Amino acid sequence: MIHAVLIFNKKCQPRLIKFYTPVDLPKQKLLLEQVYDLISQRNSDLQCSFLVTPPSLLLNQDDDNSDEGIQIIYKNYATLYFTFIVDDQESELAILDLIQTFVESLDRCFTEVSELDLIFNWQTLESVLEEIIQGGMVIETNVNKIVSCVDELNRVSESSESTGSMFANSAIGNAFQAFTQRGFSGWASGQ
Amino acid sequence: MVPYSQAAEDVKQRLRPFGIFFEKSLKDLIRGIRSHNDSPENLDKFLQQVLSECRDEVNSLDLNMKTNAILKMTYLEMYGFDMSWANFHILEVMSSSKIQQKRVGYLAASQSFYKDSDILMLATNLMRKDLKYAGGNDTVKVGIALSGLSTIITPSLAANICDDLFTMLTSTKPYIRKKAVTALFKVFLEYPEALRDNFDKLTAILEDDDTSVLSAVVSVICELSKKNPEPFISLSPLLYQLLITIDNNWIIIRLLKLFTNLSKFEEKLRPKLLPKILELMDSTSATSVLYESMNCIIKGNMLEYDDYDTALQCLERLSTFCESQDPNLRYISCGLFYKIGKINTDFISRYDKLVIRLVSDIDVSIRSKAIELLKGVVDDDNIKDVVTSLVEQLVDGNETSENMELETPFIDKLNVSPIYFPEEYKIKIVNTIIDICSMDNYNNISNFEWYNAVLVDLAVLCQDIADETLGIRIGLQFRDIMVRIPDLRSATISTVISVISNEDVSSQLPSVLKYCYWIVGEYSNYIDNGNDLITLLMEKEHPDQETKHILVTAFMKIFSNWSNSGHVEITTVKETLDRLMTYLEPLSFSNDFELQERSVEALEFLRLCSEALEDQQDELPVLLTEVLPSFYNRYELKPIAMGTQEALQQNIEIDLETPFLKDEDLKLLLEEEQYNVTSDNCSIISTDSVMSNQGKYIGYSYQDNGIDRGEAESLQESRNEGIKKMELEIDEDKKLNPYYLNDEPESGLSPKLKNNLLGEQITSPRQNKVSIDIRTFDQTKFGLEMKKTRGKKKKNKVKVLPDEIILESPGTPSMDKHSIKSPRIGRPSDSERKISLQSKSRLESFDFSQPSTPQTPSGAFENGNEDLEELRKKFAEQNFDVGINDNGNYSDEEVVVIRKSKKKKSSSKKKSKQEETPMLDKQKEEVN
Repeated sequence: MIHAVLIFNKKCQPRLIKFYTPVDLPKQKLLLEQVYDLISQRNSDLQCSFLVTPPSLLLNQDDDNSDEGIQIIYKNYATLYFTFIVDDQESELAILDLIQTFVESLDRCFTEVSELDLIFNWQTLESVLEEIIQGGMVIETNVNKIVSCVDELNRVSESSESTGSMFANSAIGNAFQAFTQRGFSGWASGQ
Repeated sequence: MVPYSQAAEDVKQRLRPFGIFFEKSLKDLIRGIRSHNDSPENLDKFLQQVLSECRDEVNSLDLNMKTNAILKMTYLEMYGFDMSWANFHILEVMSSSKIQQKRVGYLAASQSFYKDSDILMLATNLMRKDLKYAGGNDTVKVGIALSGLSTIITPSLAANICDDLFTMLTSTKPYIRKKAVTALFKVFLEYPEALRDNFDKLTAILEDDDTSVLSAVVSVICELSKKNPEPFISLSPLLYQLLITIDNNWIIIRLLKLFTNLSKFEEKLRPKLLPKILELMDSTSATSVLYESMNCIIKGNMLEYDDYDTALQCLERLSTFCESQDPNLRYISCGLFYKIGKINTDFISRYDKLVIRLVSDIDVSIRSKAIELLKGVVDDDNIKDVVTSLVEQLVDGNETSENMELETPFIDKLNVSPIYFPEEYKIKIVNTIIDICSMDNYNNISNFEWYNAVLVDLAVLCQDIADETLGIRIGLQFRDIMVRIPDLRSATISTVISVISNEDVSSQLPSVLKYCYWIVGEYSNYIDNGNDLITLLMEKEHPDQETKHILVTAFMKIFSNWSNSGHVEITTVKETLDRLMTYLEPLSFSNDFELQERSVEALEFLRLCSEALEDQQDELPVLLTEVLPSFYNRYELKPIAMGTQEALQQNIEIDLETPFLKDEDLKLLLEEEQYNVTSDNCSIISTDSVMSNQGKYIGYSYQDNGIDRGEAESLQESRNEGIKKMELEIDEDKKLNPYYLNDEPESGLSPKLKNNLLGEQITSPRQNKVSIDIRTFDQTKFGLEMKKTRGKKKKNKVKVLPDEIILESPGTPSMDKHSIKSPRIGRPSDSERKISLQSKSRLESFDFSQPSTPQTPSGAFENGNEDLEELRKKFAEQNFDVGINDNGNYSDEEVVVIRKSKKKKSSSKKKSKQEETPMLDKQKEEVN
């Protein structure tokens, strides 16, 4: 199972933090910093994508039992690190492929995705991830399907109640129009 | 009617002039964060302000504004701001009829509901409603709810919802089916009865046409089988069929993981599975499938101890993986290598060259894995190469690693940036070197002079590593070699002395000194000029009390051996004795009890010796020739197995009942004592005064056994006087004593003397005189043994003493030689600060053999409904309260502020440029 997905840049600024196993907020924050410290020491061009020494937060008391270990697998794209924290039920190589799929889907959504896109479209990032991983389980690995699901979600407007029309030509009407026409992501960034 | 109620909303809009555009959107918020990024304080201030705005906005009756505020807070949670206080508002947004608002609500809920059982209970009803599929756009709505369900689930919700989910498994839309089956995983964890009662429905999905759905259900079964494999054993024929027919690599990998779980539990699967997996390995072209196949064989306990065929098939492929350009492949292959080696070290022993090459891989992670493999591949032929390459890495790691990088084949030279060696890695290297050398009672070592040199190198290299256990391990190695290899003691002791006299080592790695002192003390009969050694040890600074304890005893041993070596002049003995007493004097006032006791014991004995020396001018007194050696030389120390002493102690019977003295004896003794008191006092005084007369010791002498308070002052005075006088005397002594070493140029002897202690390599004849001569009389003693070993022509030329067998009772705890290895330090062991990603589930211990109950026990959930009403009320009140409180003073407790650490200033232009670099470009190039 996938326990967490952390996306952050080379200055440890978070771009997306998603935990599928409940973890307290302060610990999430600490874990991000520890993972960042470990990753930033590494040379992504030469070194493998696995964090060998786990952050001290994740160390078990009886850490001899490393077979059941949690793995931290990351990939570096331009200025961003995509980090997955997974358990032994996930295949290491499959997760690396999954990260690639994730980024390819984002690239499809934005056409030439860059960190800047993801900074201002955090909600899209969330949506794409949600179509790939649900509750820590991989549900889709096909880029086409992922992107079309995200589109589908954004396209949906309120069919049952069309309150928006009540406020035509008013300020809130515009907001609703943006909302209904461009969906979730359009609405959030358009205001 | 309807227009009127709407008009009320209109009025509200009118009262906020210019509409809602003054509220910050998420985009504004992000922009704001970027413009306040210059300092953590600024950012914090800005975020606090945004948060207080959000608090206002979230209380708005306008759902749109509320949604916006919730969205912003969901974003801010990434920065460490807790939003669980707004859970009720989130629930409101979740229940919005507008899909996009619902999405925001569910997103926020998935992040903040998990620990709030009250709100979870309220959410249950809402989610049940949202999960009712009613056609049309409801696909999306149900999809959102299903995603939400995967993160927000309670046992009662699970029990309530499972029937709906099973209905969805028959939906015409694959999207719903895959989401429903994934959500079912969480339901089963909370409510295992659902799995037992609907097992067939779940297995039916295994025949789904849609790949995504199939993938999802295999994943679910895989995860479930990890928690409780038993119920899924019956599925293995079906899964086996799937493995043979399917051509989707994602699903094959999942199936392999699933079979790993099943095979761990049920050994009978092995004969059927293993051939198939080996076949798969031959036929597949995908590296990941190949790797997972091997992983499945190894982790699924399908590789037997003596199955060389299978092991070799795997190892052959792994060794090609290890040659790969891809560091990831090399890394994970190393991991599998290790696991195969653990099953039987013979499997991997032939791959020593590969492992040795991996140990100097460009990637430290891979090296670190490969190091673990070394134990399986070292033998007496390659150990020197292995250790040498490891030591070189330590040297390189301490300096720059350029040379090494240029040697490694996998990179072009332009791209070289120095590898960072984490400290853990260095520690691991040192520990590994010691482990592989000391393995099997030093079986791999044929040349202990070489190993001594390695240990010295390690001691020098460990200085920069902040782990004092390394010093302890090196010290223990020296001690072990000293005790176990009698032939080499003379060589080892000079090595040890060179370590002691290395200023850098003893100041940076003080933990090694304790063992070194013990060695030079215990084996001081190998040292000819013990007085010089004593001088050397006196000059050193000693790190801790424990080391000083050892030192005091070491002094006594050295002095004993040296003064009895038969070629020492009495005057030198006297001088050394005096210096020892002067040295021990302050220690006997130490506030460390052990140190005080040891030094007082030593001091008192030396005083007696000194007295005796005064009387006998021409030969050494019996105290020095007989009594002192008898303290230390009675037994030869021998290595015993770890735990023997404990076992012995358990067997010792101690009689605590019989008194040492009978009552009459005691009485008699006490009477005698009283009678003797006066004469005893006299003798004490005389001893002290004698010493002060000699000028060797001027302390304060007690005039009387009972000191009055009035006399205390004068006593203090005389004490001070005495100390001053003593100091003067010491200075005098220093000047007179040719062996006293200080910085003054007159005593030019000192540096030479120091050098001489270092070892035998010095050639000047004059210096040789003073250098420590290693006696050879032991040759005869051990000559017999040496002949024996030579005659046998064993691999090891040197005799290594095995552990003595003292007890052969079966109760002897057979402990690993290194199991006491010294505690790991540096890691906080505070469990509260750890993150545990293990989630406990009832599923793990759920008994599937029980007959299924026709209906779910609903009593508990009805109760829940009553609670629900109360909760609603409670939240309604809370909401109201919040509204009132809202005018400003919000308690700070609710907000967890975590400051951002380390922010480097950089021009924003540059920053945004960097951020704009497309992420995939690079990757695409690599792929193509």
